[in-house]
This record gives sequence, C-alpha cells and structure tokens, in this order.
Amino acid sequence: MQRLGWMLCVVLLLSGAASAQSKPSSTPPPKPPTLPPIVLGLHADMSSGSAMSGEAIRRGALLALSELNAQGGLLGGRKLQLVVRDHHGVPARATDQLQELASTPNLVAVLTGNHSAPFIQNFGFILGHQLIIMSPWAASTELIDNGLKPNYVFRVSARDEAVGRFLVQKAFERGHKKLGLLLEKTAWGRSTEKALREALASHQQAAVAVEWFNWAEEDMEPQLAALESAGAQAVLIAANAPEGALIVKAMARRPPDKRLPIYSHSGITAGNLPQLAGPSLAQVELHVLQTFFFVGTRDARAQAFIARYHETFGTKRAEDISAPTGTTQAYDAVWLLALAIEKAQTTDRPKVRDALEQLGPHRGLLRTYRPAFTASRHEALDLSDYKLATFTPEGVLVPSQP
Amino acid sequence: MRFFRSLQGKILLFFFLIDVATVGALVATVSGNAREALEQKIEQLLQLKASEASNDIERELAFKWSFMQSLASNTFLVNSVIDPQGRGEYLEPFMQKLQLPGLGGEKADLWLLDFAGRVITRNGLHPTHAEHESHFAQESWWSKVREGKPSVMVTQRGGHSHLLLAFPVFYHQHIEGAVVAEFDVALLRGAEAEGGLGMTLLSAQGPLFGFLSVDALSQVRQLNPAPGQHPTFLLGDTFYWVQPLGGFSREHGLGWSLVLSEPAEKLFLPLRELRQRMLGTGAFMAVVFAVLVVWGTGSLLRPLERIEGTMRGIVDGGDLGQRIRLQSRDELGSIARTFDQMLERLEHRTLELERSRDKASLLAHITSASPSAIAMLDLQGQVRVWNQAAESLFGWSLEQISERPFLAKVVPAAAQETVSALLTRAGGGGSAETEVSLMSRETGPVLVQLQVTRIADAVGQPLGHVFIMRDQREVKRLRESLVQSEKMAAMGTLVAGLSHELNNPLGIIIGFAQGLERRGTLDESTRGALASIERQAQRCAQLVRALLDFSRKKIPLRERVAVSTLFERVGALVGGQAQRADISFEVLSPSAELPELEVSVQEIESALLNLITNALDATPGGGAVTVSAQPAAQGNGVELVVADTGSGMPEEVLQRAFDPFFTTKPVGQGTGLGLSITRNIVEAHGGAIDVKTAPGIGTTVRLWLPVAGAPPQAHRMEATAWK
Repeated sequence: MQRLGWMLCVVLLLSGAASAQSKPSSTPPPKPPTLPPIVLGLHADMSSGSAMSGEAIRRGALLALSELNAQGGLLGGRKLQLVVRDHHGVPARATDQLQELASTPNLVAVLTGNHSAPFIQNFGFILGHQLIIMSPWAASTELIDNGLKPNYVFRVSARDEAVGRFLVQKAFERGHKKLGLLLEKTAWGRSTEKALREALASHQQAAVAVEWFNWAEEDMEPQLAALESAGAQAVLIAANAPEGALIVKAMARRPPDKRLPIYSHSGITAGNLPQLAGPSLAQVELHVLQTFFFVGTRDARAQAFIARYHETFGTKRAEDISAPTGTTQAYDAVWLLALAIEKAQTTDRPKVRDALEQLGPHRGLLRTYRPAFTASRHEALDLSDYKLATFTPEGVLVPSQP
Repeated sequence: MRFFRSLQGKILLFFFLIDVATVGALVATVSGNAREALEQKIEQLLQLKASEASNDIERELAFKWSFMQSLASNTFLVNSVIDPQGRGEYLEPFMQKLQLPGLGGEKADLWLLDFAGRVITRNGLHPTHAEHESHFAQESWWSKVREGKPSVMVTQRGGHSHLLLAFPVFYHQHIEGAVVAEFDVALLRGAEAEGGLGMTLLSAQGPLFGFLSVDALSQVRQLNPAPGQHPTFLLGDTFYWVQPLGGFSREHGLGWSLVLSEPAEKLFLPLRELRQRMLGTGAFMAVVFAVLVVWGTGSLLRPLERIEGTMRGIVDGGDLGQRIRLQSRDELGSIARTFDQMLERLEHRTLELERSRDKASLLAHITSASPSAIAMLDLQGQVRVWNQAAESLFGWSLEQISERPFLAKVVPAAAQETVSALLTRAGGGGSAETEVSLMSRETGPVLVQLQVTRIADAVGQPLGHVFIMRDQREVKRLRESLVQSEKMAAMGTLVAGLSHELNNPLGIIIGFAQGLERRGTLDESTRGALASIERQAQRCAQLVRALLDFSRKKIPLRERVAVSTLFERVGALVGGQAQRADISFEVLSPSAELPELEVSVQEIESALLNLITNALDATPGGGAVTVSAQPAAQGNGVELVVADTGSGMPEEVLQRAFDPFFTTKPVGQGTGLGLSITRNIVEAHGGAIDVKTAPGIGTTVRLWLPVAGAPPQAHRMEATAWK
C-alpha cells in the first residue's frame, strides 16, 4: 500500500557536516548550544497525480535549506528543517494535515504544492493560526486575493489571472482566435476559467465553448469533440498531469488535421506527463506555461544550482530536473522566507509575515525580486516571468518557438 | 339383512365391497402417489422459489454491489471527493437524487465520505443514525475501506438488519474517499412469496429478515448440506427448504442461507381434498353401482326368481310337473331349459321311484310282517336285512347279528355242512331249502325250515343270499298235535263205539247185580260179591261215561261268571280232601276289579277241579296248594293259577302230561284224562294252559282265559303270546 507520505520528514543538516569537512580543526570546536530548528512545512501532493510537482518543490526547498544551513542557519545558528505532508491534492486531507503542521513546534511557514484548494478552503484556519503560506506553484487567483487581513499567503509562482491573459495572448499570437476552454472541475479550474474569460473579454473575445472534466476522467474525446464542434481553433486547458495526459491522448487520436493546439496552464507539468501521455505527446501541439528552464541556461547561478542539484539528487543532466518551475520557485520562496525570518529576527509568524512584506531586493534563481512582496502585493512574479514551453519528443520542457 | 342374504343383495354387497376396496386402494395408492408427487412438487416449488429468490437476492446484491463499485469509480464522485469548493452546486443535487438500483434502492441510504470517513454528503431521503451524520471513522469496516478494500457487512439499526456496502474512492492509487450504501436487508425480500410461502434470510448470527422458530433455527443450523444439495425438512406443520446462497454471499463470505417455509397444509389440504373427492366419487360410484346392480341384476334375477319359484314350488309342493319355460337364449335360458329337462327326467324317475318305493315299502312290510325270519346276507356273509320275526326267533337285533358273520353266529357246527351244501345248491340259481337247527340267543337250537335264495342285481352280479327261516317248532308241535288229535279222534271213535258196546253189557251187569242184591237170599259174601260187582261195574260205567264225554263234541253253554264265584264253588268241593290230606289249601280272593269270565261254568269248574285234585294228589302232607287269580300281564285275559308245593314233574313227564290216559298215579286212582280234558276245555274257551314245574319243588299251572266280551279273534293270538 502506498501509504501517505505525510510523515516523511527530512531534516537536512548539511551545513554542520559541510563546514566540518571544509574547515578542519586540530582541536574539537566547542559544542554549540542547542538551538531550536526553524521549521518549514511542505504541504503538497507528494504521491498522487501531481507528485512530481511536490517533489520538485521539495528539492528546490531542500537545496535552499541546505544553502541556508550551510551558511549557519538563521537567527544565530538555528538550522532550518523541512517537514513534508502529502495531501495528494485533496483538500480534505490537507485540512487535517494543516492542523498538524500548524501545531508543529517552530514552524514558520508552509510551502504549498501545485494545488490551491487545500489552502483556499482553510483561510480561516490559516488566519486563525497565523500560518504563513508560501506558494511556489499553486496559481489560483483567489489564493492571494483571499481577503484575509492580514494576508498570510504569498506566492512565488504564476497567477491564474495572469496566466489567462498570457495564454490567450500567446494563442492569439499564433493565430488562434477561437479558443475553447477545457478545465478541471475544481476551484482551480473555475479560477482559470474566470481568468481566461476575462482575458478573452479583454480582447473582445469569448470562449467558443467551455468544457469541464473530472479528476480521474477516463476519456476526453467528448469534450474535445464538443470544442471542435464549437469551432475552437485551439484549446486552453487547466489540468494536472493525469487528466492533461488524457487530453493529449485524446487529441492525438484525432485526425492530424483535426488536432487542435493546446495551451496549458502549468498544472500538466506537475506530474510525469511525458510518461503518462507517451507517444501521443509528440503528436500534439502542446504549449505550457513555465517560468524557468534549466535546459539551455547559461546563468552561472543556475549552473551552480544545477550542479548542486545533481550532487544532491544524483541526476546527471539538466533535462533530468523535472518540473523545473516548481524547483526554482520553491528555491526562491525558501530564500525569501529565510530573508524574512532574518529580517524579523524571530520565527514569530506574524512578524515574519510582516517581514515578507518588507523585504528588500533579492536576487533569486528565477529572477531578481525588487522586492518580492509588498504589503499590497503578495505575488512575487508577474507576467514578464511567464514563458511558453513545449515538450521535446524526449519529454523535456523547452521554450516554445515563437 | 334379509336383502343381503339374497343373490341381489350379495351381488350388491360384492360390488359395494369391490367399490370400497377399489376406492380404498385407489385412495391409498393415489393419495400415496399424490403425496409423493405433492412433496416433490412442493420441493420443486420450494426449490424453484428458493432458487428464484436466492438468485434475485444474489442478483440484487451483485447489482447493488456492482453499482456501488461503479459509483466509487465514477469520476464525478472522484472529483467531488477532491473538489471541496464548488461541489456544493453539483454534488448535492446529484446526491439528493441518488438511489441504489434494484429492489428497495429508493429506501437505501447513500453516503459520500472523505478519506477520513467523514461524510461529505449523502442522499437526503431518510434520516439516518446520529453517529453517521458526520463520520464513519469509528465503524469497524472503515479500517478495511481505508486499506482500499470494499467492505460488505451486516449492521443492526432500528431493530432491523442492514447491509452496508462500502467502496473506497481511489485517485491515483490513493483512497481519497468512499461511497457507502446501507439498506434494510428486508428490502431484498422483494415480493413476498404468495400463498403463505415464508422466506427467511439467515446469516450465522440469525435471521436477517423473516422469522424462524427456535426449533427451526436450531434444525437449520444442524444441517450440513453437501454441495449441490438443498436440505429440506418437515418441522411441525411446516416444510422448510434451506438454500445456501452462492454468488455474492459466497464470494464475500456472508454465509447466508435462504430458508423457505411452506405450511404443510399446502400438502395435506390437497391430499385431504383429493381423498374426499375420491371418497365422494367412490360413494357416488357405489350408489351408481348399486342402482346399476339392482337394475342389472333385476333382469338376471327375474329368470332366477322364476327358476327359484319353480324350485320352491317343487320343494314346497313336490309338484314336479312345474316347468320354468324360460325363453331366454342366454346361459340362464340354457340353465332353465336344462332344469326343465331335468325336471322331466326327475318326474319320470320320481314316478319310478315312487313305484319302487311302494314296492320296497311293500316288500319291507312283507318282510317285516312275515312270520318267517328273513335275513339277507351280503357276499361277505354279513346280515344286511333282519326282519322282526328274525329278531324274535333268534333274539338278536340287526346290530347284534351283524357283529359276526351270520353263519358263524347262527349256524352251529353240526349244521355248517348242511348250510354250506344249501348255499351251494342255491348258487346255481333258484332256491334251496332244508330243515335245520340254528342257534338262537336265548333258547339255544331252534328248528327252522331254512330256504336260501341267491340274489343278484339287474346285470346278474351276485349281491348275496336271502335266508328265509320258518320256525318249525310250532309246526312240529302242531304236527304232533295233529297226530295226537288224529290219534285222539280215532281213540274217541273207538272209545265211543267201545263205550256204546260196553254200556249195554255194563247195564245188564249192573241191573243183574242190583237185582240179585235185592234178593234176600243171598248170603253176605254173595251180597258182598254182588255189591263189588255192581261197584266195579258202576266204575266201569263211569269210566265209559267219561270216555263218552271225552270223545263227545259238546257245545258248552257259556255264561258270565265272576272268578270268585268259581273259586268258592271249587273250594267247597276240594276243601275236605285237602284237609284230609293235611294240605294247606288256600283260595286267594281275587280282586274286586278282576273282570268276569264268560265261560261254561261247569267245564271250567271241572278243569279247576282236575288241576286242584292233581295238585293235592302231588302234594304230600304239610304241603300247600294255592289257588289265585289276577289280570293277565298280556292280552285281555285273566290268569287262574293253581300252585302246589308238591313233587313236581320231571321233563319227560311234563312232555306227556297232556297225553290222554297218561298218568303217574297208581292204577285205579287216575284215568290219565284229567289234564287232557282240562286242556281241551280251556282251548275250547279260547284260552291257554301253561305248566311250570320243578321236581321236588312243586308245580304251577296257569290258565289264561279271555275276559267277558273280548273279541274271539284275539283269543288265539293273545293266548299264544301269553306263554
């Protein structure tokens, strides 16, 4: 039984060991005083349809933590720990786990997975427990525009509203004026629908059709047929990897001249889409939102990160870094939290929350944040960070050709 | 009862018994077969019902189970489990309308649970248990569902057994929720079996629906049916059929059994109705049979009644002239004609028989009345016919004479040769006879004239011999008597002539003697001589008169006289003689009722005097002579008895006692004519005389005389029989 991995707790104490190796001493150093760790939580789908996103976030976070701990930790040497809870993308499970996380000693913030609903439905709890929620992937507009005062939710990722505009824009740029929407029947799907409709409306357009699908859907052909019959030239989708793969397969089964280009939210990269879609992936024109690529990057920081990544997780190539957006955004998000803790000089969550709104510029892996957040803006990224990507035949995300 | 003794009644009774036996056998056989058939039918019915019901239940369970399985994998519900924000819009309406398919599905409770067993939503048709309102996490089955295994189990709620079906809802190998259905197991009952067919669904814990008595439940649990077998049993007034459920129940280890019960009345009622119908039909058929038998036998019995009437007429009236004269051509007609022919012959034979019987009767009468003794001997010498005269002659009855062969018993040794010769002679046909002495029972040898005749049947086969035996003793006596009579007659003639010739000289002698006596000149001696001459001459004259009386046939004058009178006169005459002889002479006075005699008084007195005188003469002094009279033991006569205690007579004397001139008295004292004259007197009166004597003891002489007025024809026979 694939039991939930919510009790998986990985504590990396890399800094101590690393410094001991890099700074050998003839006399044993005095035993440092025992400081409580600074705990960050990762509350994501670690084993289900979007497990890849959870793992990507975990890896990005771990690399950030390792760097921070290698630097001596925070607040005078307090090491950072990551506590992971796997909610499978199911809000009900997440609700229970969130309560556990909230009661975890020294927990400062919780990183989300790619699902927004587990947190959206717990805004009351989040506010009540003054939990800092940092989203490295979850994109629902509502996640940030939640009405909480103060707002404890921050995001270093795409925002549905912007994604809507981005995808519509990209479709239009490719001559696809008549767009059909294919969305999962969740809060995220509805959030994306809203964004897409608004984006289309901004272009005085409307979706030729909107189709919905359920999680665990087995066949998307009816929806695609409906969109086609509605005259869609392209399909804008909001789906996670399992359902996204079904869409790809269904599209691939259509005659080549009937296959519609797909413009997808980043959700389909949260799982192992290449594996799920198989050969169909190469037969379909699929564009997907991304914010960062390791493949082909020439940035030194990125190269160093890749090196650490390979060193830590045993990969060899940049192509082996799955869901790079999640890893990159998690890495930057952890650093921003660390900066806020340092700035607040405390792990007191309200103060850290306030510090997050008061951070200065920070050069992250994905971008340089000037600053990442403000009191009125809890979105660290903007439309300029969005990129359109596609899968290579090998299943590697690469930038789409213009 | 009389009717049932008649042929019609017996036929009716016979057919009635046949009907009863047939109906009884039919009822027994048919009801037995019907019972087996009904039992089989009920078993088949129960099996069919059980099979249908169990199939229905299994199908229902499988259907519901399959539905729940598909519901759990339905993406709509999967999505609903995961999507907490928006599902209210689409999930609630869906769940409100969600029902289990199949029987009672509309009454089933359905829940959608999250991964922790909390209720996301449920169908809203029925209030549910309070514990189920929020979560099922505490339920025993939940741990199984959380392990990803569907669960089926029986729950108890509200006094009813419910079946709970729970399926995990998977998403990417994770159990993210569950769908649960719970429904009253009784909903599986479906349409209750018609006609009182009871249905109980039984689990190891007890009935899930329906009712079973404790005994029935115990018996069901004791059953351990082999695979493929469905035990049935009869308990009390109910048949039970136990059908272990297969399919869903077996696959999920429920161990359910369906118990169908059928009131035994279902079996027995049709049997009773069948028996009643058969008995009713049998009774109806008996009535029909009775009518048919009475009607049918009427035509049969009418000829029979005619036959019977004819027979009755013959039996009651002996009228063999009656005839049935039945014209029918059937067997009865044949019988009647045969019977008529038989009557013809019978009448003819009867006439012959009557004639033969008359002949036989006549012969029998003749034989019986024959004075001759007749015996018919068969070829073995056994006596077959033995008439009355033979019995009288020989003293043996038929039974007694038949004890031994006739010849051995009757023919003395000395006569064997004679008789054998006689038989030989008779064997040639015809008769042969001879005079021979045969042995009688009492009197020893009896001289008979024996005539032997061989007899044969119609074809000449010898049947035996007829012996006709005539008593020759009387003949001999008569013959002797005849000789005596002839002798006496000759003597009488002689005596009469002689007497007549003697009377004259005697008269002269006596006259001259008397004349001489009257002469005075005669001396005494001469006178004495003359007196002696006269006396002796007188005596001679008296003798001559006696001879004349003996030989003279006088017709006596008879008169009625009492015996006592006779006795008085005779007694007076002999009283002195007895006294002188010192002999007790006693005349016993006869009874006053003694009848009178009609006799010649003088002759009877003379006879009595002869007898008394003889008695006195034979009796020595000191002896006794008694005279008496009494009614004769046989015949209508009177016995006059003179008995003495004298010297008696030897046999040879007795044989000659009645011969004339035979006397044992000294010469000059008796003429020898007394007893002879007495017998002549008595026999002249139709009487008889008998002498019983024993030498040295005495003699008794009895006279039998007919009473006055007795028919003369009877005298002889009575006198003969008297001896």
